[in-house]
Amino acid sequence: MKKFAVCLALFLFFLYIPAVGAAPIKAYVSEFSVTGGQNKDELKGILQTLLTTRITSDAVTTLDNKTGAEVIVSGSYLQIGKVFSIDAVARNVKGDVVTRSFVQGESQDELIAAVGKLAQVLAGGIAKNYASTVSSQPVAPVAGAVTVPVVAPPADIVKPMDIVKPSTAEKAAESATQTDIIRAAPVAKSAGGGWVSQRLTGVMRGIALGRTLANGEREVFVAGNRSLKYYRMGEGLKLIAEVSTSGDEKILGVDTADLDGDGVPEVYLTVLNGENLASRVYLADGTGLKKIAENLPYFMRGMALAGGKTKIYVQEMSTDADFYGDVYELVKSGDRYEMKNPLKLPRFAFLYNFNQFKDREGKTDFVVLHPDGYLMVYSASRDELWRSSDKYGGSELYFQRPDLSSFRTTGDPMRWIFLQQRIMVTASGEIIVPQNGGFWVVGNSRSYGKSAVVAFTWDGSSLEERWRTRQSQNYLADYAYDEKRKELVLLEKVKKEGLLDDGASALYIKKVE
Amino acid sequence: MSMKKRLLAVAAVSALTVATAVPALAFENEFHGLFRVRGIIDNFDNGLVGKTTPSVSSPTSNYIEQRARLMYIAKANDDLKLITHFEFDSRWGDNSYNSNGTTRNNGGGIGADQTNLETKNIYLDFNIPSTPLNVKLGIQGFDDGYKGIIFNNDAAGLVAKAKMGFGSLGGAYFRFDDATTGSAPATNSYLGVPSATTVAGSTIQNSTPGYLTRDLVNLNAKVNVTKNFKVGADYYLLYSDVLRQTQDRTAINMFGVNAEALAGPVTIDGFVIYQAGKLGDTLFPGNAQKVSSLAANVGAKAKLGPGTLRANALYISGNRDNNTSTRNDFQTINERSTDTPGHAFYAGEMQLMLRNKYNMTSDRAVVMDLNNASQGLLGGYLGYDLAINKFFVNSNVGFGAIARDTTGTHKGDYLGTEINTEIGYKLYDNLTTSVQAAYMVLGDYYKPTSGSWPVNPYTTKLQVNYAF
Repeated sequence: MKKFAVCLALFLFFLYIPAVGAAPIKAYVSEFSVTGGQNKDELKGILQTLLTTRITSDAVTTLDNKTGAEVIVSGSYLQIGKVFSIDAVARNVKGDVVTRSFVQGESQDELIAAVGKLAQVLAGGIAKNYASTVSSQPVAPVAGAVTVPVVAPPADIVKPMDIVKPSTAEKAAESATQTDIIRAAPVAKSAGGGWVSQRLTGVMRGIALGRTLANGEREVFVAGNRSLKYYRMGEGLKLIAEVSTSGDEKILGVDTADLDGDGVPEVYLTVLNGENLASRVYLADGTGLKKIAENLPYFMRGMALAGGKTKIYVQEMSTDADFYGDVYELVKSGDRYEMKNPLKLPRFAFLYNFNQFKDREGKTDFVVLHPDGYLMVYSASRDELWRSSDKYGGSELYFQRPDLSSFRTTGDPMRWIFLQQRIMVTASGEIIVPQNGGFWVVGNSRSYGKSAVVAFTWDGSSLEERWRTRQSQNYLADYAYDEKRKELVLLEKVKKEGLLDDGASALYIKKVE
Repeated sequence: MSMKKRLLAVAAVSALTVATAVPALAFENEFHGLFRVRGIIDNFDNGLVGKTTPSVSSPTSNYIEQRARLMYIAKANDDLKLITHFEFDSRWGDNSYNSNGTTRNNGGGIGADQTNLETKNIYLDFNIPSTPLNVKLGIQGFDDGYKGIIFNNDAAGLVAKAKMGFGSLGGAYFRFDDATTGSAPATNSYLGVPSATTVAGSTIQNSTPGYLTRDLVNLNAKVNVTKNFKVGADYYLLYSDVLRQTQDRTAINMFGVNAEALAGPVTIDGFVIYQAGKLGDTLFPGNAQKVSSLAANVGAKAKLGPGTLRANALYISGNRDNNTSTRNDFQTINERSTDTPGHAFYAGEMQLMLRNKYNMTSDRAVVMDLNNASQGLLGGYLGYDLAINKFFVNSNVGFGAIARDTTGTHKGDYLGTEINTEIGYKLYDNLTTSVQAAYMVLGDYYKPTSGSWPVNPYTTKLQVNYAF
């Protein structure tokens, strides 16, 4: 009898084990996050559907919702240029990783096949690893009370896939998911990653950073059409002082640099008074803005050419040329300002659309935004080396000058001159360029609706994208880069100006690492 | 290898050769345009074009007109682009379905459908490789460098300009007329000279293109003496042999110098043009009149208070008697219609005395053609522009007199004083609404020998202007 009982038990055990082993694991594929590319909203659902149907196998079955799911698959889609990467991770209900994988392709033609491959790998990984992840502490799924894994918030900075030759696929997967994608630091109460200011009334057009104070707060100068605001940026933006222009004086930009080397950067405000430049310099003393120079007949921009020390560069305006002659360095001699060290620019370059960087041989090349938006690289001898396929830059900021001689053609008594986004070059040689996109950019009508900031490095032949910020749904008016903190401070237009509405702006901080 | 395979191989190689030889097309599309609507109430014009002669009976007109322009630029690369520019004009209620037998400047009538597309410009703009030379070739607008008093219009031609270290060098050639067959609608204009020399009824008999033409040639140089001081020099030749079957040819040489300088807060500019040559006239068959005439201008602009003060003075020489062998009246360029000048002086910012820059299909002025029926012009114009945020006010006062009384029958030379203003608001960056008003007090030139004075002209306009 005892033997019979043992035999029966063994028989039932053998019956039970195959039955348990054959039960497919219930998986749910959640909606994808999509970065880059077109038709993002459609793509989120399409990828979810494609993976749901393709991941089904003998070992894995899929559900239409999370209820009852033992494994939840979440994924992200990243497209840079035509190259795309799909990264997916499968987690059990506790949030433990069951398996993860990625695929990448050179064009959209490879998308469906790539999803198929990814599904195959994921299904295999789930079948292989699921039992081990739940065996130690099995948790029975309870309908309606499923623990959904916490999905990390979208990263501020997204890096493209490097084209590498990994020794193993696993290494590549690690590289793809851990090295190339840098997630934002947790939102800090002080100035840190993910910080956003309070809403600022009016459409602002320029931003520059001042000192970092002992308590960690930073001085920020924000320029509107007719006002310069001096803020202290800590937990929020605290307005310290404000100055306004009068008459038809129009502010075209604000920059900071410590030209006299006293440790306190001066604030350089480019002002157009009617048809003449009447720029000013202020000193922020912690409590207010003190004007230390005025009626300077220059356009001014602060730049760290080739990642060097930040200086102020200027260009003049003549009676008929909007940007006349070479760009000069502005030098402060006592209370006076002088133009020195002329810099001859390559074709299409003017004060507001260029910077320089050092190539591998140590030569100083130029990077320039073409009037049509293409990013161009010129050699030190001003020969064109490269130009992008995509468009970058893009500014709604312009000034006007009377132009009756063109009236027959334009129908407008004024000539429109658009400025351009600043190009920054870091000490490590990264070239930072904003990219405003828009639904309505025709002639002199410009209304951008989305933006990102992109960083490149020069590989000797072309500019290679290193990282980009997640796309914002706002027009980027201007930005500053705090290289010490590795933070981008973005000035975005969050509401357009209307007939009876001044619009609104906000500052965002994005950590680059 | 069979013949068929060889042919296939040759075809494949040829296709590959072509494919690699043709650069990738990378057109950049650029669009510009404008839309303007004007509602007009005045006693000054009737929606048409031409000189307005103030009269005792000046009924009030009210009408609304509109203009749309679309410009498409196809940029093949940084050095080559095709510019096309089209125009649609109509007066509200004028006509539809081409039912009045005309096409352009129509289509505002009920039903609207009208063939009314006008081609304003089509030209190629390209740089000559490895040179500083830019060329514009085709039907295009032209900036004469003399505030438009020589030629400020569209025409078919070639304009070349080379940027030099010292400034620029340039040249231009335009063919205004190539008269082949038929009756000249306004024979004087084929000469390219104003209505004072009108001799109606000449008939052109010609079937050879290029035989009877009116052409304009220009050579120019500009020197940037300093950043804020520029000097230019021009030579223009206006040549017409359109009417050589009945009278002598016209060849007017124009020598001009212009300058612009920024002196402190004041920008000063000006020019002098001297004309010499011969003017064909049926009164002097085979022996054209000699031309010796002058035009001059000085302008200034300065920041004053919250706005900008403008000033311009213009002199156009006149002639005492057109029946003598020498003409001293400045010979202006007209289109074929004697009432349509191919020039203008918009810098005066007049609305009644001179042509206004915003004029569209209705384009009238007391001094429409600056030759002013050989009487010339002495004008002084002051303006003040004020812009506060989205509001702007542009106000002007102008004084005008004839330079010579050709007939000697007028009580005085003074044409009158015009005051005008434009008050506007920028609804959006590209959309401006404004109210314009102008009133001209007539001078002794219009004083009647007996009876009533002509009515002083006035105009009021409400304008919406969208340009992008």
